[in-house]
Amino acid sequence: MILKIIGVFIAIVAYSVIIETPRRFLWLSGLVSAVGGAVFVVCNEAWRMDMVLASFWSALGIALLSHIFARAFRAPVTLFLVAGILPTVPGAGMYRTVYYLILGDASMSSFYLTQTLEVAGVIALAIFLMDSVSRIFLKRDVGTQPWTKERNMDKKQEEK
Amino acid sequence: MDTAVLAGEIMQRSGAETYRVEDTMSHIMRKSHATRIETSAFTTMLLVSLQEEGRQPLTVVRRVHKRGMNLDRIVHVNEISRKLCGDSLSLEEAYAELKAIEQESQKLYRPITYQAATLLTVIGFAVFFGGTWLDIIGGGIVGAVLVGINLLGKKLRFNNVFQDISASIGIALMGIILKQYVFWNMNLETVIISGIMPLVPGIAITNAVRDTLMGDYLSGAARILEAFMQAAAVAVGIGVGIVIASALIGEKVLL
Repeated sequence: MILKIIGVFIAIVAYSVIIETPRRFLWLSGLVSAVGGAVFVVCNEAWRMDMVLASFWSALGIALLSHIFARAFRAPVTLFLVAGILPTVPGAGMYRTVYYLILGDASMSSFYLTQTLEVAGVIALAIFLMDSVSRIFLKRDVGTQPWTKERNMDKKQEEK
Repeated sequence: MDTAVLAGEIMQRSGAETYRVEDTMSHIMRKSHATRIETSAFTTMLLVSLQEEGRQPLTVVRRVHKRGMNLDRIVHVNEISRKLCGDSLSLEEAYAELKAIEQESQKLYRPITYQAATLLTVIGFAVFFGGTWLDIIGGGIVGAVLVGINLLGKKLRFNNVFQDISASIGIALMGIILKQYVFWNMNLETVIISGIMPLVPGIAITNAVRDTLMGDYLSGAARILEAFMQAAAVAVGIGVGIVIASALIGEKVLL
């Protein structure tokens, strides 16, 4: 299990290089995804959760950590989120859908197709949820949020 | 105005979210004394307009052609625009810096690092999906095929979809050949799935959700389509790869 988490850490640090993350953020985005991978492995294997539910918790953890890191290091959220979310993206489901399609096993194929779409939807839901929650609770944090800056700008203009 | 459009163009081309692009542009535009500012960004286009007292309104339209992912540039432009709005950078300086970013042909890391990174991504995922040593070695070989096809595609100027299709054909073929002739204990599924992980549309899904959430339905829809295209390309590639392999080797490949 620890080996798996190290694996995902290495994979995501490497992937961050491909999408040109600045050097000082490489390890952080690796850390985000390692936490996500750990959540997934624990949920899926130790607690025997369904694949879809495990993906949800994993994506939720990744999104939360991305938001916290983005505030703490004053960087765009995308920086951590894009790389971090990769381990939960249903590559396995995609492969199995096609595999069973070619094998001629229509029921298995449509099962995996549904699962793939569900996981994708669940990832979307997790990101959506975390974005909304962070907007409520982290509002007064540093000026990374567009509207806090905007409000200040408006005040400045009025003063002028 | 030029500064704003340039900043927007760089960000849009680097794969930033739509609201971030619009926001950055309108912040920079506020440095002018215009009475009314409108900025609007789509996945493939930027529209900026400003109106000053007693003058004709001014509008600039930019078509965004090439899009890729470059987080470094997003971070850079973000910092510049923040400095500019905090008055620690003049407009001319900001423009010069943005121009420098735009013309920067040198990438952040050395070319060899990118290829090594692709390889490591595949190997890392092979570990994550519970691969044995054999699977990890197989993943390394499949990753090398992926790197080779990427390089070839860049040289022959493939478009994105075709690039994805040919890469996943290569991955599927190589995986099956390895399984058939070299490591017959290898778990084919693990190897192929790790191979396609660098190609799956993680970025497109993330950006699609965030754009849609911010109310940019047009860009959101475009990104969702992008995600589906990428997923379909990978799926078609894997399918074609398996079919070719089973035609060459025989039906027993699929078992």
